[in-house]
Amino acid sequence: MRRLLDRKLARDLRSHLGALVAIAVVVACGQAGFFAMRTMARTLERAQTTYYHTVRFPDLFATVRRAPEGVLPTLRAIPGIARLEARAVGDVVVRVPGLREPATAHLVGIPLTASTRLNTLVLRTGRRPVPGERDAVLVSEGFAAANHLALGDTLGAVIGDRWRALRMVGTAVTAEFVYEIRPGDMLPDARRYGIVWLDADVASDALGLRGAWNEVAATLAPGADTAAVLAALDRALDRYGTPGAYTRDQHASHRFLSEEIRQNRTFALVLPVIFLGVAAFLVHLVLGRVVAQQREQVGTLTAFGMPSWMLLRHYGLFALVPVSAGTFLGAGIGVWFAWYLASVYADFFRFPTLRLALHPAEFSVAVCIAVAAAGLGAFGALRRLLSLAPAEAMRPEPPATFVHGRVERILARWARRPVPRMTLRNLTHRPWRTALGALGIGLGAAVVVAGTFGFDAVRRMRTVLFEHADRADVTIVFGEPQGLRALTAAREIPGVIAAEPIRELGVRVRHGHRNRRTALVGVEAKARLRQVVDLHGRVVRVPGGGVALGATLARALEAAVGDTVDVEFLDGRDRRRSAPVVAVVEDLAGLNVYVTQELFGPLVGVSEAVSAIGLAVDPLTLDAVYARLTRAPLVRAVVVRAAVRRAFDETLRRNFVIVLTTLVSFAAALAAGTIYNAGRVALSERARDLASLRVLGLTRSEVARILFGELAVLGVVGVPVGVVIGIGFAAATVASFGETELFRMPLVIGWRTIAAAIAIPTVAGMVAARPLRRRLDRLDLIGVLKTRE
Amino acid sequence: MPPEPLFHARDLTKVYRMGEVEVPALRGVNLDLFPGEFVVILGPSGSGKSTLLNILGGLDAPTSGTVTFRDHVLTQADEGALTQYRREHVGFVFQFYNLIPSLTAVENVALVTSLVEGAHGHVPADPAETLALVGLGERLDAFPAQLSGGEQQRVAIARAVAKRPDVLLCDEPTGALDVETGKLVLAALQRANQEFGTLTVVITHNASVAGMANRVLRLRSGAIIGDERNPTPTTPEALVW
Repeated sequence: MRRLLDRKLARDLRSHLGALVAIAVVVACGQAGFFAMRTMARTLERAQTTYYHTVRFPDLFATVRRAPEGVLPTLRAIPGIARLEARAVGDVVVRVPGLREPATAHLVGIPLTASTRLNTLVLRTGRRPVPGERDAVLVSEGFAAANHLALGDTLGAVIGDRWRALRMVGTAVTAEFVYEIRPGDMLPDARRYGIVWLDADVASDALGLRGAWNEVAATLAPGADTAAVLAALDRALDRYGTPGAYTRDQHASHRFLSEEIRQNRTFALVLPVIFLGVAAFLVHLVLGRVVAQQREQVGTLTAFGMPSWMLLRHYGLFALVPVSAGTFLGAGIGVWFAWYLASVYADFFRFPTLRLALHPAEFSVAVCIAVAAAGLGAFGALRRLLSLAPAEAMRPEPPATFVHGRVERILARWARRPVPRMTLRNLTHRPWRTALGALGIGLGAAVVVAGTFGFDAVRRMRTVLFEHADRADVTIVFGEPQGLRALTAAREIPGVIAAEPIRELGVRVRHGHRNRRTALVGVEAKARLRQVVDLHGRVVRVPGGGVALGATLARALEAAVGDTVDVEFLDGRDRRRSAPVVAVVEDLAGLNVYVTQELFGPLVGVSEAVSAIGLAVDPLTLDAVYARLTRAPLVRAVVVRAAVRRAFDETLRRNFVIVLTTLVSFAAALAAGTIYNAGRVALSERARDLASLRVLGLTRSEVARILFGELAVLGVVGVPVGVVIGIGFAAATVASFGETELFRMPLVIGWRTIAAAIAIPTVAGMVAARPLRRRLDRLDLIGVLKTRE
Repeated sequence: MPPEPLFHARDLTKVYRMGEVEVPALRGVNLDLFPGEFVVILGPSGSGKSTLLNILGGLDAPTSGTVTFRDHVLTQADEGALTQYRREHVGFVFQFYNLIPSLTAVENVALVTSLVEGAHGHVPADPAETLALVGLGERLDAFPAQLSGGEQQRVAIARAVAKRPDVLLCDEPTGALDVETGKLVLAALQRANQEFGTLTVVITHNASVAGMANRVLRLRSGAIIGDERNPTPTTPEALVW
């Protein structure tokens, strides 16, 4: 008996192939997303843990302006510190062969003699410099690869006061720069920012730190009180000018990496919920229809004494087959996608090896999710099946009972003619099914909005940052604040049209028991090259008489206009000033405190402190200006706006292509799967009605309009709802991920995103409707004359 | 001069292929049907009466032979032309009514009348009036599920006649009904036939229905074996079966 039933199952499956494939595809999307994201999260996490462990990634970090070697024993004696190492680090401008603009190298001094250290380098190619080899350097792998540097190539830089050629003898990676990004940047730019390791003595000389250091890292002893150790470090380092010691949580690279892992985990949760939810609905739809169609068969089989568990198994398997097929397919695609993503990630996160961490747990969880979805979808249909007495089941199902509904009375004005009324009643007859069908299509739109709005937001940030806030062609950044002489010198460079001073000073701002490390920015009202702008790019006027806080900082400090904050300077001279908060600026990037130029000097206590200079440059003289700046002493970085923007756009474009391709498939699967199955079921339920109408003289197109009219209504209702859901999801994302202390992501949804969110499900739905049209054209007109469903 | 026939069928054959078996359904049928006739086609199951009705209704094509409706050659018409033909000239009454469950009685009728409105100067009857004609003037806004079988079949008749077709084709219209209800339905058909002068073709295997026809065709094994005129048709109420 069971064998025969299985044969029937095989035939039932075959005759519903299209519907089952649609379900399987929707399941496959969800499972592929789940597998890819979970595997990526696991892969990154494992790579991170292993890497940190093997290279002894520190637990605590601190920077100072300059501290003597002699203080290190005191630091090492702090209870709770297991190991502590100090070094000289700093940025220099380098000329890279093949690169037009100057690049920035972050120099890191490494002792060439000691063996066991924190933050061990992992050598990728070549060798380490040997003691006494003063011009030999290791270059970070990403920087070398992006610039196509070969062993033996040289980077030109002013080291000390001399122009030196630094010969690349090897490439390396390190756990502290898994994510290699210039501080303050939004996206990495591997061509123009890299790490260069060199002999510690040479680095100290180059950075003017002979016999001293400016960065310290430490590991904690087991059971150490982190807060206490941080406080002790701060106390010990205070007079050397420190912004404060911090843990891994505030370590830039670690933060970016951990954030990425967190986002992968979130998506691994969200995607299956969406897709398997829709799949459950589709199973419900199709299985419900099959059970209704086979009502008489079920009655007959029950009358012959077939136990109900056998029927449950039979129809349960019908639900399980597409869901399992989707799970296997999804697992395959997901693993492939994870493998592909790993290769993409490898360009952003530099690990010695990034091996996919495939884990059977993922598969077990996926199977559980799938079974749950199939069960959820099958529940209603199977319950109805069991509640049917055999005698009742053997009689054909009575015609659907329609009544004059409330919705109809409201909409009757628009639906005077019979066909719209038919559509309206069919849709309101099963309101839940209509709602879920619309939702299924709508989720396609939601996925597009939620998945791509980030690009709109980042594009907006890009416009605000590169076109409103920063309009200097070239910005020269100094290691130490300079006097106005630097400005005069800059103006004298041939080709420089305008030069404006930028005044930014590292400070700690306190309000009550809250404090943040931030930059104090002196704002000149007449400045044109660097302006304070809000989230929308509008220039903000900073009032006098106090400080203006960036909105993120104001929130972090719980400070408002009228409060007084303490500004503490981090130059080791222990100076503090109090100032009233006169405004809160809805700015975009980072934590900032703004004061007018007039107040800046008195507040800081020096006559002038130019930390950077913004230049407007005649485009024809750019190369000459670059050459001058690359060789200028005291300059730590030269930022070329056009190049940064280009790199930014390139990174964005590449990611956008990947995201968009994925989302198009996802959205299309949701919309097409829902439309196809809703259409198939509607067609099956109403085949007799539609065929009768054909007999009565309705043309094929007229009959098609009736069926597709219903599906179109689902889309017309569902897509806007989906867009709204997507916007809600975007708002939630901005709320939970969007405001970091580095950047504030605005909630921007571009018209192109909305257009894509409408177009993708619409086109997918139309494609899915094509096979339905073919079925509709082949309706059996003669059969309906005789048969009763 | 004899009246022009509405249908003119010559040498109709129909062979169904069921896998490898060929089943002949019609074997050389010749037939003329005239306006205003009430024709009952009698025959056992498999005699070919439904096939004949389907061919006359433009739902099926004969394997050979020709059918003309006035000056339209149905056997040469394409799908679109046949749809147009059914829409403008044919009224169908099905055994199982085939009403649209989501439309009320009056809407079911209006759906069909709206199709022909304005086509070739066609003026369909008012749906509500037509329903009153079949005795359902009080049930206009009832949905099919709220109507009895006989009432549903009368809605179907109203739907078929309201567009004032040239021919009414009824396939076992009382097949699913009890005697009394069946008589009500036949009365409605007869009334429509008399009121509008529509050629009405009823196929049934219930021989007693023949009493109300003015022409009775008998089919057996795909051939017409009898074609009788009945000068004194009775009313459906007088029928006994």
